[in-house]
Amino acid sequence: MPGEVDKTDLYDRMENFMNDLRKDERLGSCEVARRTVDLLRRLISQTKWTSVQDLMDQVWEAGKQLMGADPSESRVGNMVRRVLKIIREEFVSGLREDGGIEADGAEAPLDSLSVDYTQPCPNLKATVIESIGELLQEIDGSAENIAQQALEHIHADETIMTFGGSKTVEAFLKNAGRKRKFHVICTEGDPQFGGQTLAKNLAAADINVTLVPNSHVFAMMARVNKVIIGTHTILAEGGLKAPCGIFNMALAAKEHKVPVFVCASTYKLSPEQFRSEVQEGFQKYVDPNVFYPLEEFAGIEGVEFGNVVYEHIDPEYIHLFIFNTGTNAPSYVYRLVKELYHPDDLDLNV
Amino acid sequence: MEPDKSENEATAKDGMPSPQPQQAKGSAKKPKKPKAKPEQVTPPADKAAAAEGGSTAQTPKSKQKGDKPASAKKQKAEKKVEGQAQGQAEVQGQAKIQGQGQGEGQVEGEAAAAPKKSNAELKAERRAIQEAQRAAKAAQKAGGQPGQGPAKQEAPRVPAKVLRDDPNMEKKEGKKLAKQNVPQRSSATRRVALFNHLKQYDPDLKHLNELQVWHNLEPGATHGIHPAISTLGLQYADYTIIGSNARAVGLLAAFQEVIWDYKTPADKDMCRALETHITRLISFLDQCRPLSISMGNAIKFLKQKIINLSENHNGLSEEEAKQDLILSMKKFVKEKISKAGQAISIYTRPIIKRSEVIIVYGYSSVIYNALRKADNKESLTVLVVDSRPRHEGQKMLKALTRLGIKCIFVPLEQAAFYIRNIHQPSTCKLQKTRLFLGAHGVLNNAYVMSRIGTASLASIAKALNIPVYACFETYKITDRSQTDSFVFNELGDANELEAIGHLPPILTNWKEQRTLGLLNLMYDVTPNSHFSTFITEIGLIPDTSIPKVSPLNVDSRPTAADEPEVGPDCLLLRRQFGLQRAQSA
Repeated sequence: MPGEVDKTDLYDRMENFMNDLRKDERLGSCEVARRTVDLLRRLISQTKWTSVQDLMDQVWEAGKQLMGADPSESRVGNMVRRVLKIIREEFVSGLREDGGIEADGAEAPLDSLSVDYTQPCPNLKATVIESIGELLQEIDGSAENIAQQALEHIHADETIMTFGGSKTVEAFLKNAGRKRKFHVICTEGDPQFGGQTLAKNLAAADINVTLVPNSHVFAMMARVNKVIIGTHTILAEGGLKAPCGIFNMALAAKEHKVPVFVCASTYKLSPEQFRSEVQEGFQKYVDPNVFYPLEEFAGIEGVEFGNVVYEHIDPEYIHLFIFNTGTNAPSYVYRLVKELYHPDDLDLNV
Repeated sequence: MEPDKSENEATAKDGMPSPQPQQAKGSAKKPKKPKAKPEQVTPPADKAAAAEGGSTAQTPKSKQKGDKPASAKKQKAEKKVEGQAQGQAEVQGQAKIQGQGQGEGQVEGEAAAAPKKSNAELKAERRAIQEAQRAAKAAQKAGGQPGQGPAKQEAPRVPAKVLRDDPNMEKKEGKKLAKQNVPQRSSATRRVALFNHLKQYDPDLKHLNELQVWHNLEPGATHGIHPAISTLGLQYADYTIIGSNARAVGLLAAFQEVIWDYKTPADKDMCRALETHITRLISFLDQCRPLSISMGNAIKFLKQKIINLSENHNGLSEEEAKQDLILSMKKFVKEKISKAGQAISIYTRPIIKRSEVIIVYGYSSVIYNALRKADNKESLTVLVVDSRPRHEGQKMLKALTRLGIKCIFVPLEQAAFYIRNIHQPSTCKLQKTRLFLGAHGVLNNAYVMSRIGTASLASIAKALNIPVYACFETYKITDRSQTDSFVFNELGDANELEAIGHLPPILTNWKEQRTLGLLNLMYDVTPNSHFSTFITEIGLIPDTSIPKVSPLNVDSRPTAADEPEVGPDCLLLRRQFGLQRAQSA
């Protein structure tokens, strides 16, 4: 097509991102979200479209491609949905300004039945890109927004247990540590031992830290006031998809009646419902070498090695979500999901 | 014995009358216990003198107090009275035990005849009095006035190993060890605040290695450590010998050698000298690695056996007495450990059914045996759960695959996922799953102390409605009770956490960070509510029965060694413990 902007740069970037996703490198969740949105913004700015529907199809197409790199990486899908929602909103508000549809309040449904997405909309690109810029700002500032709430949740001389090396939790605890003295029990956590890094960083920030292996969770829980953890994804019913080991901790916390707080940015909110831990797009299977050097087991036959990364935690184990937008109980998560995503975008695989 | 004591104390309070008539009254009150009579007939003045004489070696302080004012003397006298009361109580018990061993007629005769006593009895008596005096002194030191208030029972002593937060304790232990000529292992430089009350050894073994030089084969030598013990100690210290059973078996095997090589010095009495000798070796082992509950009970058994040796060794020569001791230790290992393990596997056989999934955690000799004896082994799937930093599950995995059992090997974190998602390949139905756990020791309140992580796994199983079985031999039951994993535990080497598999270590110089502590606990305590049932050599028992079958409770009964062996051991043991009806699964 004449006038088509050269998109090789965009495709290169996408390919790069997908490679990073495929590799077992630990990409921070913030980075995944930011890079996804950034790529989609580039795509929108570089693409020509005939109608809004056409634009949305292209975004959806690119999103599906990105999601295919690592189906368990739900945050890519979340961001694609957010971008789609932005396009829908900007389009409708554009129409309203033009008087194309009746302005009957903010609650107007945006689905394809009431809105004709096939109409052209000349000024859309600029407003959409501006809104996406706001989304990027939200993503970048989310960890800080969460951290700022720390002093509301941690009191003096408290003992807090945390799991693995969540960047969000690290910022949260460090923020509280600037004003308050408390004790943190870090568990080693994931197979990359993020907990050790977290312990090291917190100790460097002059917070009292005790590092324990994951097996100590039950024993130590008896002295813990609060469990503050990060997560991979929050599912629509309020449960978590989190690294293996968090269930142990949540269970121990429940037995000792210790409240469990989950620090998470809203980009971790997924509209997916939980059906099973082995459902499509939930589990991630990796080389068991990550967990234990298999050369030690050379010559042993008939053994299956554990190789899963995530597990599901029921909402009943969680007391509070600390989002960058505020705190909510798990029972409210479905509502947030409704606000963040458009009902037509929930299932991107159609 | 309660009324006796309170009466004595009451009189002691109101003005020191001669306790003699009280003594007589006390003994008259106990017509049911003729065996105890000879002690009670003895005039207490004699006893006090004997105690004074006997205690000189042990408590030099009592001599130094000679020039105290009258009030102090009075207090001392009070103490003595109380000591007598307590001593009497203990001596009565002692006499009872001896009576059982020797047959009743002899004691009965002596009781009627004269205050003349055998040397052994005198000795037992002396010791009892000393014990009582020491306890009284400790009580007074703590601030309580002896002899006041209602009948005071001697409170169980808090073991020194949970008093490490007392700065004097370290010194005190050092003194004791110096006296015993046992090297003291230095404490870790970085300690975790929550566990200040526990001993945290410096992981450096250099100190202990020096002992290799000390090897002194001369039997009975005062400063050498018997090679069997020093080897064992180092094996404990570097975790070559781990596992509750292995440690107890190793201990008894080493002490068999020690006793074999032991020779009583010419001027000493075997019973006393041997006990001192063994106590010293045990202090050494404790420096290598804190004693396990199983070892503690094995030591209790051995010491009881030694105490039961009277001066003339029940008419045996020293050689024969030594052989007797060695035999009884062998018997202990055979009956309480190996046969008990076999009995447990007999009970687990009907529980483990065809093509079930059995979950195990780490390595446990009892569980391994149970699986080895299981029917349809090849149809089972065993989920071997492993944890950092000791990776004992690897040993289990290797052992089970050698038996041809199909295994799934998972780290503790993934256990919940696998338990929830093990499906039969053909039918896609969730498979029947059971969790079998071993134990390091079982507490008197039926809480189970076991490898760290056990409680996590048990609570997962409980949450997922999977039956949890704890398998252990009854000799692992201890009289201690606790509900958390803090009060009594063992601290492993924190540096073990540095190595993180194939990844480059993150915490290479963690000791430089003032606010960072690494904690590597050895055990945790699982609440009794997490277990479906306890499987022991006497059958499947509920948690409420634990105090009943504890070895302490059993000691007062005739032991298995006293009865002829008929029928399978488990039946024999069950009859002895009076547990005819085993609780079904």
